[in-house]
Amino acid sequence: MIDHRNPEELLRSLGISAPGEIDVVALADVLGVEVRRQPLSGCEARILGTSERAIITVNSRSIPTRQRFSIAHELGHWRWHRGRALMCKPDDMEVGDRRRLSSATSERIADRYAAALLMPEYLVRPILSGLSYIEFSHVYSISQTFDTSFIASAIRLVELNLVPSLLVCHNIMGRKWFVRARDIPERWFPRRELGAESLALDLMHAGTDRRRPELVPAHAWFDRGDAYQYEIMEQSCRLPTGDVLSLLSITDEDMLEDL
Amino acid sequence: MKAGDNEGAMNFTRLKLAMADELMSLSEKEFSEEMSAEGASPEDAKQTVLSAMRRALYEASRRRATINELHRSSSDGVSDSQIRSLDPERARAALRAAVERCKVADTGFLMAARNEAEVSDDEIRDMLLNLRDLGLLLDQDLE
Repeated sequence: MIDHRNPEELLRSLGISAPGEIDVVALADVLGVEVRRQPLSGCEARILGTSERAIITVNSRSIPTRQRFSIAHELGHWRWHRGRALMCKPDDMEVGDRRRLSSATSERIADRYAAALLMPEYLVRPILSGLSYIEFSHVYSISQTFDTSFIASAIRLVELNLVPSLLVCHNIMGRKWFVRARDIPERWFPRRELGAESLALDLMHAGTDRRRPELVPAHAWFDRGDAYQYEIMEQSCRLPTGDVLSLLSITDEDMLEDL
Repeated sequence: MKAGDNEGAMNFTRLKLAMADELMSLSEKEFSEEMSAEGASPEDAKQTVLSAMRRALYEASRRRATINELHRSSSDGVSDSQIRSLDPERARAALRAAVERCKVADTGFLMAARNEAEVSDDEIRDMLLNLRDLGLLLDQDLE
């Protein structure tokens, strides 16, 4: 059996050299995991396994892209969480609060594994080399090339640290979540409420859709005194859910220096 | 990536497969001679063979996965009547019993699901079927 600790090494060991060759069901088979598709109402996918074999069941009612990510996500559990029973919500398995927290961390680990398996750095980086900022057209291109969702692709691009960037999602109540490239110092923590000069605020409240990335004052996004010295590149779009997704790229290298 | 690139990638894949097939069909002597003629070290030769074997394994998996999916879609509805006929309460109790036992007995046991809603009775029975197919469900779990 092939060791699959690192998803990219797994892909390389199988000679996968193009995005179209990443067949997640075949990868599961190589790893001793059978994939079944059937309608599910409680979850997108689940995995049950023993030491050498496992069965992933994925919701056949979901769109193919989501099914694909869900299968890869469950393979992440297969890699990292053998010996554990992880259920995200309290149900028949009586999962308590402490274990729920642990379970949420496990979900993030499985998500990262899935992203690396479906969008390996060695295939993504050559497509998007030499950028000074990321924009949604890059995200769209990656999602089309790798058959992944728009949001999963956006998160992957930021986490790959191709450019010092953040991805921030807001709804009317405030910030829902964000991810940050590792080159960005932790002091650059995005505001909970959208700043008045952000493009995202215009989009959220006035529906103004400026499609191109634009330079905006950094204080529109970061509640820090030194943010007034800088500008950052912002592009925001509205998701079908009504949330606003913003890609922020830091183009001023002074912002990246450790204090 | 453009359509032409996809076609290029497919051609490259076919080429690699042909190379893998060719390598696999050589006798050990023929293979050694060929690698020596190419100036390859024994380590290069070993890596080439390993790579070809893994590639062949992956391609076999792709074919098998497709066949499995076709087979399953044509056999939808076939299920183990003993599990399917369990009433909801007994099915949940059986799952709980099986999972608790597996957690103790099988150090590699894994169960994971990101539940967004209550798991339905049918899904509980499906999980029992999965456990049975993995050899992890015992008669005593259903009692």
